[in-house]
Amino acid sequence: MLTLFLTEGRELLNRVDAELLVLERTPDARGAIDAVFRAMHSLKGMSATVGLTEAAAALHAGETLLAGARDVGAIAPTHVAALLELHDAMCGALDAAGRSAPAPRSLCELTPRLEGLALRAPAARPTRRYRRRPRSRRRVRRRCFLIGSLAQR
Amino acid sequence: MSHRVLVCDDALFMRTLVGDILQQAGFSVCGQAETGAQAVAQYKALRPDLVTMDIVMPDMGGIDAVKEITNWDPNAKIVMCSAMGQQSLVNEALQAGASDFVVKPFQPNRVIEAVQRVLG
Repeated sequence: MLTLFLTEGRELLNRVDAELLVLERTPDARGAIDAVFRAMHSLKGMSATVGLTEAAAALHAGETLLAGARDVGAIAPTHVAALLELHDAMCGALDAAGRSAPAPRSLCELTPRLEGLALRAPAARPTRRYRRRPRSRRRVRRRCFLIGSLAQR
Repeated sequence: MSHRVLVCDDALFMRTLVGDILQQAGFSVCGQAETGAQAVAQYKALRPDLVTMDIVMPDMGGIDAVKEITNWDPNAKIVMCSAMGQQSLVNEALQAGASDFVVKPFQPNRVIEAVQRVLG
């Protein structure tokens, strides 16, 4: 069952990543908000079932954030950034689970922050942009954009 | 003859887990569905003795699927499988015609007890 959990968990995280990229560009993409919510909800139930309680708690906090976005019909950029952090931390948690290692500390630290964000009203503008690991598509895309901008000058 | 159960959940992991629990207790899993719409179609095609139903699924959620199934068959027996923090949705499902519920992460005994109780 652990193998099935890891395989399907990674599939769900890939879906979350793709839909969060959509929400970065289009914060009111209702279909993307729903898709991220469903994927995180499924992963939460699966994580709780295999005993990854820290992961389930963090995903529950992420789910609460998305429930707020569903209510207002759009998601704040700061919330997308926080959910991208959750995505990356969950990737780490699945890798750790595959090695029978404890959940990464970043995941445990993220939960109260997500809960805090969920309690506040959606921010109108981003206050801090989340920087992903260098190998991420986002970083590469940003780099391509910068190179393109320089080439035009 | 063992009772036939339709297992509905959008996660293959959860369908496999619930199916294993039921089969080890002597039930027969006659079908699986990963959306609410599939659950309704499978119910009509297979006429199972009982359905286990997730709440959050794509296309059609579990609550709407319960409504459609119980409209079609008022005697349908449905056990909801919900995650933590879904109490209001569980109540809605019970009002829509579901018979019982179990909360993830569930213990195998809890699932079997609920299924046996609903089947009478």
